[in-house]
Parts: sequence; structure tokens; C-alpha cells
Amino acid sequence: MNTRRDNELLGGFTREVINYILNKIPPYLGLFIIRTDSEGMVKSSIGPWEKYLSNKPERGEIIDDTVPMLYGMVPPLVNPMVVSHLNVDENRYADVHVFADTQGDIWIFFIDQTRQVEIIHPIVQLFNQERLDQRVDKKRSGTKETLAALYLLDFLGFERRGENYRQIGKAPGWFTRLKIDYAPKGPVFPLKEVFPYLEVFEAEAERIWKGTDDDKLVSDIWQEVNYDGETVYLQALALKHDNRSFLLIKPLEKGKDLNDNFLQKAREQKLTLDQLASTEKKLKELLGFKDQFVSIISHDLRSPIGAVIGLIDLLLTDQLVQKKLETEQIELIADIKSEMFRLLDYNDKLYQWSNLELGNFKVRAKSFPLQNLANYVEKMQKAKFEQKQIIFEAKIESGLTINADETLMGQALNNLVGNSVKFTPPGGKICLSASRDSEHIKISISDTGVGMDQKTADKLFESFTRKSTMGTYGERGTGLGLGIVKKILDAHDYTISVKSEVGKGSTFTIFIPTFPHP
Amino acid sequence: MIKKKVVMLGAFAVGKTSLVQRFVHSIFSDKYLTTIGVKIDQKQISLKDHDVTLMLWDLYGEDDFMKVKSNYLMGSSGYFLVADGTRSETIEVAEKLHDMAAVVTNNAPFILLINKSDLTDLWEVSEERLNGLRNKGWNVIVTSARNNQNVDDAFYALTEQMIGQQTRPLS
Repeated sequence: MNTRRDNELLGGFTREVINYILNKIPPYLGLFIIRTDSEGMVKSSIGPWEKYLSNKPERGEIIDDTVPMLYGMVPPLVNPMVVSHLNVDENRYADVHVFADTQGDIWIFFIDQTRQVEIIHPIVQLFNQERLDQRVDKKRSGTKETLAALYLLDFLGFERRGENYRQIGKAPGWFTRLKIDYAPKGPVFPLKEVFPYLEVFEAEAERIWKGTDDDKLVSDIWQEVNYDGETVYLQALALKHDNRSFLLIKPLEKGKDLNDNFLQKAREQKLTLDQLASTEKKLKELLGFKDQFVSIISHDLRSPIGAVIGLIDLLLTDQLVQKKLETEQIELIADIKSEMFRLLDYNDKLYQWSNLELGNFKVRAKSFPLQNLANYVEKMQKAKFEQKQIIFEAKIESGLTINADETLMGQALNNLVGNSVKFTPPGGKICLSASRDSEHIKISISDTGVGMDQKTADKLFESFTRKSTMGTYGERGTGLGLGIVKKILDAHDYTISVKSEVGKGSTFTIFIPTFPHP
Repeated sequence: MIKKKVVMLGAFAVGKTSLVQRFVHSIFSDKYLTTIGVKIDQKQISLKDHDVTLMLWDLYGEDDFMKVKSNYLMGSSGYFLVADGTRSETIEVAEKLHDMAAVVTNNAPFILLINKSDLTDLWEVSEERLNGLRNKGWNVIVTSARNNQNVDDAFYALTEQMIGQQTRPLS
């Protein structure tokens, strides 16, 4: 259960892919993901596709046809392959990551970079233009004037000088509507008092501001509230360009930048999974109590049942009693004994069953000859063979041994042979054989019984069958016998198959790997 | 006026935002809305002749997709570890976050809040487990943001610890 959950977390996201998302593509805003097979055939997609594409990629489509901009990128030439600032349409830029996982799937991540490009391009263009014009006198350059116009693009801009921040141009409208305690008092802007969050980002941005190369760093998102009581989501960009340091802040627009509910959905799904796991745990506890209860009761019932059988034996063997009873009464007592034996058998199977369910057993494996099992089964079933005049034949390859729990395997084979006895008419034949090939030791129990149809065969090893079929001699079963066989074989990592034909008989084959699984 | 930075740490959906909203604005919403980024609220309280402004940093929850950055704890005087009493594994997340927070804050005061005590039918955390944490010296308070159980008490208790640490003479 845990392994499956680890590998298939959150609707098919493997741990490997989650780690990629976590380490390579923060933040999650605008994250759109396409999953394809190794040939680029779309398997699924999640996220706001409409931000990047005109059509949603549908399952079964070839990615090169659906998203032409990815032509030649799937599968990736290097893993992962990252293309930055891809102009996906007239007004939108994205970083695209193409990542091939170890399961053979390819994951394509689109991350919205429009804001970063919008911020950087005007500044870079401005400086480049300045150089082209050979206007080296920065006091007279258009830089200040152009940057001052950033507020028209909704940016609140600052130039960092030393430890201080000087506001560039006017404040945009969103800033003036924020519910913050701020009154301008001079050229230095008290940035961290107004936005306490930025004390954290400032520490991170120092790395690029103190560097000598052009660089940028995007902050996490933080929230403020405006006078209308609305939450405003803000993000900052630290920029180093031509030895000057800038900090620019802009709100994220709902519906444009914040239309991604990827994280919300992922977390809601995780909560649902957690709740299911919790319910499963509680159900298992309750089932455990039930099995424990059945185990205790069936164990405690063995003594009184045995005592009643003993008393019946006394009645049936005591000469004085025999003389006083009519033949019909003696037959009735014999019937009671037979029913009590059936009750004991049922009770024993319940006891075995509940203990297997509780896991109250250990496979104590040792090497032993398979002939031991054949001898044991023959001894256990001897009375029934005689009663139904069934011929039992054991064909065990000479010297064949297995490494298993002898008691449990004896129980399993006894149940299987007992089942064959039940469904084989008087005068029939049952054969227990064992042989070895390069991969398996095979133990087969075949009979000349009534057989069964495929539908019945398919459901044969379900834990518990409500319906127990009556045998050819009127035998009644518990419905637990074959379920117990399956549990014992599972505990050994063995498998079982059944071939059957109505009216001709059945063959059960146990497969024991010659080399145990690692 | 004393100013104290307090950080809310914990797994996702344990009720960090609900606790802050209950304490600062006396409101509660049943709807789960994952916190995007960081939200900083302020609340002024008076405690033992001190006027204290609490700067409450409500961080996004930690999970497989989002890891809390240790930078957020810079300059904090104390922190809450928040866990969900109906999801016992969130205590393990809180313990892991504490390992990180204790180092960054140089062992600042903290309180573990086991939230959602109103959901008694789904409660998973045993008293033995809580006592185990208390035996480690942790202050553990069971809260309900929905029923306003122990919420104010928890914030006042942490403030008292922070003030106590500030006024404690150096040994």
C-alpha cells in the first residue's frame, strides 16, 4: 500500500516528478503540465492550458502536431531540456522544461514568465539603446525618465543605493489603495516597514545585488489587503543591470497570473487520500478485533466440542447403554457424532482462518522431501478415500525437496485434496504429483470429479465465499478451505492455477519458484 | 511598544491561517483555501504591563510540493508549530520543522498547537503521544479555531514566553 502510494502520489505524479517540480520549477503560478509517452503521444495534462495554447492537448494526440512549438523537443535531446522565455504567443512568455522520467514518460512543464520578461525587457532595451546612441552621460540619459514611467505598467519601482531604496517615478494605483501605514517622508522609502515580507527577500537578493554580473531574482508571493478588503498578491523582482540594483513590485492579477489552482487541487486530493488512508486504518483495526474475537471463540470452542464427541463415543461403545437403546436411537447418536465432527472441522478452519487474517503465524521454512506431504495427506484423507472408494495416487519425483513451512503446506495440500474428494464421485481417482523444471517445482492435484465452469474457477480463491457447494456424497463445506490455501501460498510467495472442465475433473497446480524472489 | 515576530509553521491544511484569523479578526471559515505565499498580520496586546505588537507571519503549509524556507524565520522571537489532531502525521511534519526552526531562531520559544479539537470523531492523536511531547519539554496546547478553544490563550502564552526570554537576565 505504501509503495503504491509513494509511486503514484496525487493522480499519477511519481515521487521523481514531484521532486523535479519541487526543486526545478518554483513557483507554481501558471504551471501547466503535459505527460506523454516516450514517443510523444499525449497521456494527460493538468493546469491552465489556455494561457499557452489555443487547443487543449487531448489523450492520444501526438505532441508535435498539437503543440508545434515543441517540435523536436520530445523526447528531449538532453534531460532535462529547458528553453527560457519562449514567446508562446504575442503577449506571453514561458519557460518550458522537458523532463524524461525513469518510467519512460515525458513531462512537459510550462511556467509563465511574462511578468519577468515584461519587467526586464524595457530596462535592458533602454540600456542597449543608450549604448548604441553612445550616450554615456547617465545624468542626461533617458534612463530615469523611462524607468519613471514604469508605474504606468503597474510597477512600483525602487533603485537600491547602499542600504536605502529610492522610489523611481510615481506609485501605481494599486499601491495607493493598500491598507498600509505609510506616509512619504523624504527620498528614502521605508521599504521593509511598509512590506515586512521584503526583509526576507532582501537577504536573498543581496547575492545578486552584490555580484558584478547582470542577474535577476524573483521573490515568493506575499499578501496584502486593500481598503476594499480585497487580498492583493504581490511579487517582487530584484534586478542587477549595468552595476545598478533595482527592486520592482507588481501585483499578480487574478484570472491572469493567479488562475492556477494546481496546488489547491493537489492538496485537496492529498487530504482526500489521507482521509481514505485513515478510514482504511480504522477499518483494519475493526477487522482485526473481529478476527481476534473469532480466533478466541473458535479456540475456546474446541474443548467443549471435543468433550461432546468423547461423551458420544462413550454412549456408542458402552455395552450397557447399547443394550438399552433401539437401533434407530443408536443411528441418531451416530449422526450427532458425525455432525459434531463437521462442527469441529468448521471450527478448526475458522480458527486457522482468523489466525491467518491476523498474521498470527510465521513461515518457518526448512528443507524437506515432498514425499512427506503426500504421506501426510494420504493419512489425513484415508477414511474419506475408503468411504467413497476413491483411488489416490501420489507421483512425486524422486528426491524432490522444497524449502517451506511443512505444517502450513501440509494444511494447504490437505485442503486441496479434501476439496477434490468432495467433488469426485465414488469410484473416481485423485492424483497428487510433483515435478521440477528449470523455473519451478510444480505440485498438481488432479481429479476425475464434476469440474466447474470458468466463472466459478475465476472466483475460487476469493477470501471467503458465501456459497458453499455440496459435494457428490452430500458433503457440506465451510467456504473457507480454498481461501486458507491461497493465504498459505501467498505467505510463501507461491502461486496457484486451476484448469477445469465440467464433467471431466479439475487440476490445481502450485508453482514454487526454483530461485526465490530477491 | 515591543514588536515581536511570530511565525506559524506546519503542514498544509492544519489551520494556521484559521488560527491567525480567529485571533486577529475573530472570524472563522470552514472552507479550505490553501495559503499562497506569506500573509503578515499584526495584533496589539497588553500583557503584564507590556504593550506588544505581534507580527504574525502566516506561511504556506509544508508538503511534497512546497518546502518552507528557513529564511522566513529570520528575526523571529518565537513560533507556533501547528498540527492537525485528525492527521497524526502532521505532528511528524511539525517535529521536522522544529528541528529547522530551533537552529535558525537560536532556540526561540515555541508552542505546539494540536488544532481541530472540535472534530472529535476523526481525532487521531492519543494523549500518550501528547504526553510524550510534553515530556520532551514542549508546551502543547489543543486548540480549535472553529470553536475558539484555547486560541487566545495560546497566543498570550507564547507572548509571555517571548517577553520572559527578553527580560530574563543573562546568566
